[in-house]
Amino acid sequence: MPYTWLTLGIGYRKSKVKAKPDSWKVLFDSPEYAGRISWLSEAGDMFRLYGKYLGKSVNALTPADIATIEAMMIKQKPNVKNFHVDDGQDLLLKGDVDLVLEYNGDIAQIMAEDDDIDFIVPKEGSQLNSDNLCIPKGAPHPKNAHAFINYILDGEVDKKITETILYPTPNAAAKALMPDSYKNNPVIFPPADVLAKCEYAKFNPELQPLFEEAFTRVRAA
Amino acid sequence: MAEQDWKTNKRTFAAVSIPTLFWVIVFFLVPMAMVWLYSFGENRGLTEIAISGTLENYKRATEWLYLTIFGKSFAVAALVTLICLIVGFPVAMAITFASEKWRPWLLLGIMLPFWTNLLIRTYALMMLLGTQGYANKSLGALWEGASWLKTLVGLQPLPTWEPVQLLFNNFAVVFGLVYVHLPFMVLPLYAALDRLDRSLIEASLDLGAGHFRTIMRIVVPLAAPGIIAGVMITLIPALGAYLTPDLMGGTDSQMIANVIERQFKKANDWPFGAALSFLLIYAMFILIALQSMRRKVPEIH
Repeated sequence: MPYTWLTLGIGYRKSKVKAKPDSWKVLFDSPEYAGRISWLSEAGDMFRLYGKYLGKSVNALTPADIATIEAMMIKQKPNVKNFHVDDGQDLLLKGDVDLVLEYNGDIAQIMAEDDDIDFIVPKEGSQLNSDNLCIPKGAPHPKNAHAFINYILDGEVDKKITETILYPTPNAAAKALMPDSYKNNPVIFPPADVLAKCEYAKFNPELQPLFEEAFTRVRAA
Repeated sequence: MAEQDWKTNKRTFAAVSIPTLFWVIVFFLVPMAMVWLYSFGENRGLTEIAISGTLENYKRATEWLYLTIFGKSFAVAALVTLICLIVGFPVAMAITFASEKWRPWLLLGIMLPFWTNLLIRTYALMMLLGTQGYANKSLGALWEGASWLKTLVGLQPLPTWEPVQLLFNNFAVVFGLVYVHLPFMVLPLYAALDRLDRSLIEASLDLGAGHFRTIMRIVVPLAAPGIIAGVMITLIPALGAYLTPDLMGGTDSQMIANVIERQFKKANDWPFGAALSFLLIYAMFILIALQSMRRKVPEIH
């Protein structure tokens, strides 16, 4: 059962950028914000989003594309400050970096604390994911698992979770209970024309180790 | 009391050692053997690993890319150990020669950081070293002060303060690892120095050797077992560190443990991660073997 969904984009400090960073170019292919950029240290996501920047589908990358992207990453690396371990929102909030590749919900959380921060899904489009609650085959207590999932997806319970995590909820009952400031927040629920350019990423067991090895080479370069 | 040979008292020794043996076998040797077997396997689907006896993982793990990462990790760990030794030795000396009243408090001070989790300590250090952190704020204030003093005596003020990059580079990784591992060095050093016969130091000083010479010729050789223990106990965890380089490192600060961690989590390539782990374990075995061989060399009097 889907529990939240999410999209990747650029979280940024409004007073520190000249124009809206509405293209992956500022993060991936430009020295404009050298030393103020933080990438997400997820090899798969990074390669898929580079693919998006190059106009390819996130699920149609080939080993040749990986080689091209790897070279682009090595070229851009000196402009990048670090690869964050999904704590990009903290780095942005503390002022260690000014542009960060992050999930929309994480940036929505710090936007509630700091007016100077915004989030944008670049014009090339992005990647969608969802967090799911699953019961593995052969689980010893499926009844308990179902009871837990029913509890988590209960409108009131999910509302309380959503109030804290500020990720888009796929749960219509919980969403109906949330205030308008959540329901109409374009960071949490990007407009339909933006979402139309995003793709749902599939896990590819063949490519995943290749992504990882290429990213290890990028780090070692 | 005379030392007893285990052969003369087999039952007692068995009774005492069985719980430890059980622990080591069930919770260490068996899991390690499973990982060792994985290192000769290959992925079949998302969760299945077939132990096929392939050496492909080791072949990949000894590629130049991974060897350079191994090399870099050894260099970082060795540097961290050296700094810990240089900083830790005077600290251990100071605790040894402190008065009876102060010694427990000083030891407590060394052990205090262990009361907090490594992750929390690392985040605290990041707060300190960040661009807007306290270290940079203090340096900035000092800079402003110096600038103000210069204008006071009629000179040009200093240019505006640019924050120093203390975080997200290799310096930060070494600093963070030294910070975390220093107690591991100080405690064995203290244990060795505490057992030292003070009269030897007095004799050396009486016979005209200076303080520095006494330390180098008397204290250091006598504390050698403690120094070796401290070096091993610092070097090995520093070599396996992955949290500090992940959180405090820059774009080129990955260590071998980060690569291993990613194989088990993100890459979903357990066999390859297992092969990398075992290369690291073999390297540590060699280090420990070298150390125990050193011990067997008869001491020169």
